[in-house]
Amino acid sequence: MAMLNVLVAVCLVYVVFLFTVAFLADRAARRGRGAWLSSPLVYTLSLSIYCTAWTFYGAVGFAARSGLEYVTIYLGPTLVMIGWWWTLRKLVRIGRSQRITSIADMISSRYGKSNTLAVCVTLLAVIGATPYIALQLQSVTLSFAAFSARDPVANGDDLQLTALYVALGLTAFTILFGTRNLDANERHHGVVIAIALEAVVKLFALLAVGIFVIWGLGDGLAHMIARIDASQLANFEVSGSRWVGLTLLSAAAFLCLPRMFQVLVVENEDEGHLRTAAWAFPLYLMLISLFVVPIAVAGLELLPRGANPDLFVLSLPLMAGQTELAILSFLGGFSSATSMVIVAAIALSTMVSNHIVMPIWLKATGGTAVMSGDVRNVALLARRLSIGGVILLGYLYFRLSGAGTALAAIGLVSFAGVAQFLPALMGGLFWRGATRLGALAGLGVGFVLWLYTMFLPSFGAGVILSLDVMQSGLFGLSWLRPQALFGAEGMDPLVHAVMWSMLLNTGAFCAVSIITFPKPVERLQGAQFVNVFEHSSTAGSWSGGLAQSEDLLIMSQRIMGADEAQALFGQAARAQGLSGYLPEPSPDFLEGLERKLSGSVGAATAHAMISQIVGRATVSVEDLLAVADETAQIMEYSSQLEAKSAEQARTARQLREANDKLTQLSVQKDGFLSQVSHELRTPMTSIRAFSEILRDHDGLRSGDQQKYATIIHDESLRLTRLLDDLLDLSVLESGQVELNVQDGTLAEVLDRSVAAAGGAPGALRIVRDRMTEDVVLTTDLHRLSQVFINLIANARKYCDAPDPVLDIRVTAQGKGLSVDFVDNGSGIALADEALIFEKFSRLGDTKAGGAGLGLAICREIIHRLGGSISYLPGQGGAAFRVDLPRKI
Amino acid sequence: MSPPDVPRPMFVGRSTYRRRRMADAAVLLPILGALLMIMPLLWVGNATEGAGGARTSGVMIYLFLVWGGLSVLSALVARYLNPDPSEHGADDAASEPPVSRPVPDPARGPTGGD
Repeated sequence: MAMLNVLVAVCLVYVVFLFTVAFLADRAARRGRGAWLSSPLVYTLSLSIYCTAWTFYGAVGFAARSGLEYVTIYLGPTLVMIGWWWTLRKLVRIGRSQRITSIADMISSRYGKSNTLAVCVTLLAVIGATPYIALQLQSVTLSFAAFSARDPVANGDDLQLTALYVALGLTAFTILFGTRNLDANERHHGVVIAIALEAVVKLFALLAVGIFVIWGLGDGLAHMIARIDASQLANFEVSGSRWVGLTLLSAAAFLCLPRMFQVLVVENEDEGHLRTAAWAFPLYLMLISLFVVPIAVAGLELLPRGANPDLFVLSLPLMAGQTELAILSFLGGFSSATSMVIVAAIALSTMVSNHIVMPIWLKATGGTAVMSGDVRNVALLARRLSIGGVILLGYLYFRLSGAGTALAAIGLVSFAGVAQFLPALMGGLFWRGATRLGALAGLGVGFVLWLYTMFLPSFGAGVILSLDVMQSGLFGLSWLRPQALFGAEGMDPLVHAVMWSMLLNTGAFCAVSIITFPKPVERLQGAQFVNVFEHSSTAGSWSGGLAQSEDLLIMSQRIMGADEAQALFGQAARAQGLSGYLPEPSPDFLEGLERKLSGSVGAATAHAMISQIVGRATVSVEDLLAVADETAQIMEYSSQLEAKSAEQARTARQLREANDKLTQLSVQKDGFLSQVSHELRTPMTSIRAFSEILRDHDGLRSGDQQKYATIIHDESLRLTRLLDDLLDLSVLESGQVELNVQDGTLAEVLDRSVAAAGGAPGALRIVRDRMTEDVVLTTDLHRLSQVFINLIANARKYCDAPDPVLDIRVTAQGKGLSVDFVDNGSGIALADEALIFEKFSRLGDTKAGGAGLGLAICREIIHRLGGSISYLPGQGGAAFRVDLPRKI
Repeated sequence: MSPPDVPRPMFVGRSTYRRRRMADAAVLLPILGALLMIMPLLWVGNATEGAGGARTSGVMIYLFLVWGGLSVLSALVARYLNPDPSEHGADDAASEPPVSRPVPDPARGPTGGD
C-alpha cells in the first residue's frame, strides 16, 4: 500500500503543481506580463499533445507487436511539419484572419458558414474522439494497476474508481482553465503552458526509461543493437501498403484531429512560430520515438511471457526495483493522457456548444438575440457542460468497452475517423470549386464507410455487427463484407478501410462539387480561403444601413461582456469620427463585429445573430448583383471616358489638320489675290496703254491702229474669261446653277471635249478605248464635257514628259461609272494633293498661267452631277478619277 | 494595340530571388522526406534470404539519421525563409530595397484590433 500511497501523493502534488502553473500563467497573461508565454518553443511543445498515452505506452506495445512499423505514426506528422510552407502556413493564416475557433468552424466557415456542415463535423469528431479519450483513461488506470499489482494490499475496486477520479479531475481542470474566456479564439495561456510543461515531462520520462534500459539494464548502445538483432524483432518485416498507408493516415490525422487543430491553428499566436515548430517538432517526435524499440526488445526479453507490452515502459523499471524511475515514468504517461484529454475536451466542447447547443438555444428562445437573456452566460454554461459531457462520454465508453483492446488499434480507428475531414479541409483550402454539398457528400460517404468497415468491426465480430455480416456481407451480399469491400480480399483491414473510405470520400466530394452550384456566400468564402495570401482582408458581406447600433451593442454585451463590448463600440465610433458608443453600422464595422463574435460563438452563429438584427440572413444575390452593377457602371463610365478622350484626340487631330489646311489656303489665297490682281492688272495696263495711244496719237498708221485694237480686244477677252470663271464658280458653289439634262453617250462627250481642248495635234497623244465608252448617260452633257475639257487641257498644259500621253480609261461600276484621266508626267506631289481642288490653288510655278480655278470648278460641277472627282495617287503620273452616276 | 503598360519586372532583387528559391526548397523538402522514408521498403524482400537482409537495427539507425537530417534541413530552410525582407537584418537584403512584398501582413479586422 505504501508504494501506491506514495504514487497517489506524487500524483496529487503533480496535479497541484500543474494547477498552480496554469493559474500563474493565466494571471501573468492577464496582467500583460506573459510575453514568454507565447514563445515559439511553447507553441512547439504544445503541439506535442499529438503524443498521447497512446505514444507513451502504446508505441512500445506497437513495436513489440510489429517492429518498426510504429514510426509511421510519427513520420506522417514529421512530413506535415517540414512541409509547413504548403499547408500549415495557409491553415494558420486563414485561422487567424477568419478567427476560426475549431475545425468544424473552419469547414463550416469555408462552405458558406453552413451550420449543417459544422454539426456533421462536430458529431463525427465527437464519435472519433470518444474512444480516444477512453483510451487515455484506460492507460492511467492500467498504469495504476501495474503499481498495485506489486502491492498486495491494493483493492481492485479502488482501481476502477481511479478512472472516475481522473475524469473528474480533468473536467475540473479543463473547465477552470479552458473556459475562462468566452472568446475561444483567445489563447488559453494557462492550458497551453500546462501542456507544454507536460510535454517536457513525458519526453524526459521516456528518454529516462530508454537510457535506463540501454545503459542501466544493458551494456550500452552496441550491446543493445546486438540484442535487437537477436530478438524476435530482428528482421525488418513490414508490409509496404501498411507502411505507406499509416504514414499518410497519421499525416492526415495530424491536420484533422480536433485537438491538433486547436493547438496548431486556434492557439497559434504568431505565424512565425511555425518556422520554429517546423524543425523543433520533428526533432521532438524523433526523440520520443528514439528508444521505443530498445524498450520493446528489453521488455520482450526480460519480462515474463504474457506481460502487457503496452506497459513495458512502466513494468521494466518496476521489475528492476527502480521505484523513482517508475514513478517518473508514470508521471510521463499521466501527463500524456491528461494533456490530450484537456485539449480534446476544449476543442470538442467549443464545437459542441457553438454548433449544436447555441443554435438550438437561439431557436428555442424565439430566435431573437436581442431580447433573450444573457447569451454570455448561456454560452459559457454550454461550453462547460459540453466539456463534462465529452469526458463523460469517454468514461462511459471506457466502462462499457472494458479494457483489453490494444491501445494502438483504438488510436488508429480514431485516426481514420477524423481523417475523413481531410478532403473537405484541403479541398476548401486549395480548390475554389469545392461546394458545401460536395463537402457534405464526401463527409457522409466517408463517415458511413469508416463506420462500417472500421469502427463497428473494431468491437469484434458478433458485438455490433453479427458474425454473419462479417463473413458473408450485409444482406448476404459478399461484395459488402466489411473487411473485403467490393471484393478487395486479403488486404490488411486497416489499409482496406482507409483506402475505401478516403477514396470514395474524395470521389464523392469532387463529383458533387463539380455538379452543384455554390451559393454566393460560399463563393465569397471560397475565394477568401483559397486566395488568403492575395487579399488578407475580407470582401464586405454586410452592406446594410438598417441595423440598429443599439441592438447590436445590447447583443454584443451579452456575448462579450459589457466592458469589452462598450470598448469595442466606442473605439469603432471614434474611428468613424463620432462620439459616444454607437458607431454607424457600416459594412466595415459589421464585418469586424461579426468576426469578433465568431471568436466566441462560431462563424455560423455570429452570422445568424447579426443577420437577425441587420435584417438579412445572408448576402443575397441582389446584393451581389448590385455590387456587380456598380462595378459595371464604373467600368462603363471609365470606358466612356476613354472613348471620349480618344474622340477628343481624334477631333484635335482633325482640327489641327484643318488649321494647317486653312493656313496653307490663306497663304495661297494671299498669293492668288496678288496673282489675280496682277493678272487683272496686266491686261488692264495694256488696254489702258493702247487705248491712250489710240486716243492721243492721231497720226497712227491703220496697220498699227488695227494691231493695237486687236491687242485691246484680246486682253479684254482674257479679262472676260477670268471673270467668267470666277462667276461660274460662285454660281456653282451657291447652288444656283440650272442643269440642262440630256441623253448622250460618253464617247460623244469625250469626242467633243478632246476636240474642244484643242491644242497642237500630236503634242499630246490621247489613248482611248472606244468599246468601253459606249455608255448612255443621262446628265448635263455640256457641263460634263466642261469638266473633261478642263482635265484634258490640264494634261496638255502640265504633263512634262518628253512624249506626253493621256490615257482615258472607263470602268463601269454598278449604277455608275468612273472615268480616269492618267498622264505620264511627274504627277502631283503628295503634299499638294489635298489642295488641288481648292479655289485659287495653283501648284508650284505658274508657267501655264491658269487662274487656279479649273479643278475647283470641276469639283463643283461633278458634285452637282451627283458624282465625285478625286486624285488617284500611284498611277505613274497625274491621274484624276471622275465617278459619275449614269443617270442623274 | 499598345502593349499593356503594367511594368512587370523580369528579374527580382538578390534577396527576393534567394527567398523564392528557399520557398521552392520548403516545397520540395517534404517530397524528399517522403522518398527517404519509403526507402526501407526496398530492403524488405532481402530479409528472408538470410544474411545481408535488412535488419531492424539497421533500418532504425537509417530512419533516425534521416529524421535528424530532415530536422536540420527544415531548420535551415525556415531560418532563411524570411517572409519580410526588411526583417532580414544586416544580410544582403539591407543593401538593396525590397523589390516586392509577396506576402502581405497578417489580416487584421477593420475594427477587431485586439
